[in-house]
Amino acid sequence: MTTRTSRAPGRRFTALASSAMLVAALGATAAAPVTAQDGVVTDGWGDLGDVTIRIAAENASVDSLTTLTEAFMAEYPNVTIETEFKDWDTHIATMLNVADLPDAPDIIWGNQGYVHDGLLVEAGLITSLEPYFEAYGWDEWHGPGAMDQWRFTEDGTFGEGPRWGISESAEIVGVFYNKEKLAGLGLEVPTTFAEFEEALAAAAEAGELPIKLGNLDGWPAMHVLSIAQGAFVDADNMRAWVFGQEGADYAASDNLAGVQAFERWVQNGWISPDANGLGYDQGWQEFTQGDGVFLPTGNWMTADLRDRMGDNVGFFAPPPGESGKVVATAANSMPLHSSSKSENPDLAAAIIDYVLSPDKGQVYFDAGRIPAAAGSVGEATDALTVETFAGWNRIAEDDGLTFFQDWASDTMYDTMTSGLQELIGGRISAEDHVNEVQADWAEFHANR
Amino acid sequence: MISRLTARSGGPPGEPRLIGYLYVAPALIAFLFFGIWPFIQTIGISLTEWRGIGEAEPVGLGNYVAVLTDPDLYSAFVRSFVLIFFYSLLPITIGLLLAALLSRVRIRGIAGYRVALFLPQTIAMVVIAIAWVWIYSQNGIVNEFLRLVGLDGLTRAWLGDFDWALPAIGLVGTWLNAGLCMVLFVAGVQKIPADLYDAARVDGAGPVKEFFAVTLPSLRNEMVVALTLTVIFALRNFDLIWVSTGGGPGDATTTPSVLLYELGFQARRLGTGSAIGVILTGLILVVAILIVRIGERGEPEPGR
Repeated sequence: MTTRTSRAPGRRFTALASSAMLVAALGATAAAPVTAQDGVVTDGWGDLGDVTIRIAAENASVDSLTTLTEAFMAEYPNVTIETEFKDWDTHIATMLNVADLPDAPDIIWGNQGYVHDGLLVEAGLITSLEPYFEAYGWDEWHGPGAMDQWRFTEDGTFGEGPRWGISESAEIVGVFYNKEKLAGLGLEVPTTFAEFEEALAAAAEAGELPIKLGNLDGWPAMHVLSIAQGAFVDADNMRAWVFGQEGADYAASDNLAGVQAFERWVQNGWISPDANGLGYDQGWQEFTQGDGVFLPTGNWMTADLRDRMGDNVGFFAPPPGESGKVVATAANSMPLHSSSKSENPDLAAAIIDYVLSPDKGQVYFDAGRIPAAAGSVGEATDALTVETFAGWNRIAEDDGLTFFQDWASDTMYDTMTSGLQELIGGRISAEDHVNEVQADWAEFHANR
Repeated sequence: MISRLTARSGGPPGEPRLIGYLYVAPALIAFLFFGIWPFIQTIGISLTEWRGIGEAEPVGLGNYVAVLTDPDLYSAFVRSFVLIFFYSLLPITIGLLLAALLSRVRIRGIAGYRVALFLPQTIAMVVIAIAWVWIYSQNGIVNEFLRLVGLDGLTRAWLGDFDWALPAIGLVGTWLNAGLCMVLFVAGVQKIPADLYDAARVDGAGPVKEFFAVTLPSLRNEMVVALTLTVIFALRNFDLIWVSTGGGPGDATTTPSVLLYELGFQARRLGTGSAIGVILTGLILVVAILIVRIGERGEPEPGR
């Protein structure tokens, strides 16, 4: 009977895992897998006989997941893992129906928010991972605020109730900058929001475009705005709003101050004047060709920018406002869920544990991603990823994740994107925008 | 059995043989299964509140009431009618002029021009949309041209401009449909008897008079076809708009089909989306029937 787990030596064993070993040592049926509290099994996969686990994953995970599932299969030759990868759009469009199939995959990549994870929970298609958080000690991997993004109550309240998922990697929105241009302005990397705004003014003064934004697609403006919001809002308040907690208000004065700062950037001509007519891809490509000093966007752009700009591009997390805390649009990647139709939920959870544990960090860095688990082993191989990783660590330290604001209601994506285009076009004011957004939020929660 | 099907002994003369139904069966089954059945399902879904999985909650006509009292839907339909001008009326006018020109004047390499004008019809809509995003961008061809002729003041990111985005998209539709209309009309012109033109010329008609007296009336059927096709295209067009502007900036290019997608698929309010779909389908049917009816009225009886 083996009690050695596949996890790395030195990994902290939880009390539960230890008690599981104790039960095993006391001579529970030798061939049967070890059973811990809550009926959760955390070991003994080699004794299951031939078993297949199927995974429905999104393309961003191809490199890391393929490496890790192959390693797991090498360790347990009787276990076969079949993974189907789809691109983001296809996966999002088909995920719910795939999870609804009688022979749904055992592990399914979800997405935070009401129309994805919320519906998976509501329809009873996935199981709570709470017992496994306890059994495997996943609590140690993430800050308490961050873990709320995986919570839903059975009646559909976001951010509360059990945790239904856990994610692989970190997504953060910060500011990429053109190093030569910033140095040319005689400026250092801004460390506060005030310094950032001074840099914007200095860039404009010198005839440079301060902020490059391609917003034809609508969503990129949300991320530029988030840099300004981060300097004014409290992360707890923004999370409470995203989760629809009573009394939360997008039109509150702190958030309004952030939106007004963004409005000021537009009025000062600090944001690409053609933003609404410029595609996101064309926008960042022009940035790599030397148009614009700052490009506020997410770390998903790391590889593309590094490949085109080499050492000339740097990254910093949203510079803090008066609170001194870094508050940013940051979240974990698509959560991994365990299907309620799985015949081997414990094995599925063991694979999730194996794939996400901090000792696998290097696999994620090699794939150009930031592993989400705290204490992840490994290091980034390029300077830009080192900077995004540092940014993520700072945000996690300050518990400053505010998630993606369009999770807040089913129609929020459209309300925010079209509203910000109107704000950029000078059609509405910052006050109009926060009021429209709050009205969408209030209507959604009134009818829920 | 076969002989009974193919025999025409039974039934009055002129009645189609039963075997005929067998011939149309494959197409009919496919149409019922992929055309009619989904539409019936859509009507069913439009009477419920449904997220795509789980139980659908019946709400009667609630979705229709909600949609029809939403000012957003009306402004979306207004934009559709603006697009009819660009997608339909303008291309038909251009198509007629081109057809009149191509049929009258001898141009070397005419086949090449015809192919070039028709080419847009053969390109995937997504490719067209992406290409035009570039053409309309700040440094695109349109603005380059304006700068070249000294009209720097007019340059703008066309698709990001609240006033110009809709006409800009409309002109893509014009470019797209003009070739289609031209091909239809050129084919129509070729079957006009030459003696009609001879008679007109003997009566002293010039090119303009000839166009209005002979060419235009003879193309009535082709015009009905062109109008039907392009108006339907204008009312239900989605891919071009979605890929180029996503309905923006703001709601400046949000048409009913964009609204349908945003509510039905992005927000997963399938009942609301279906209600918009049913209303849109109903409107398209009415408009199409009207066009055909008006086209038939006043048509010279055959043989007269």
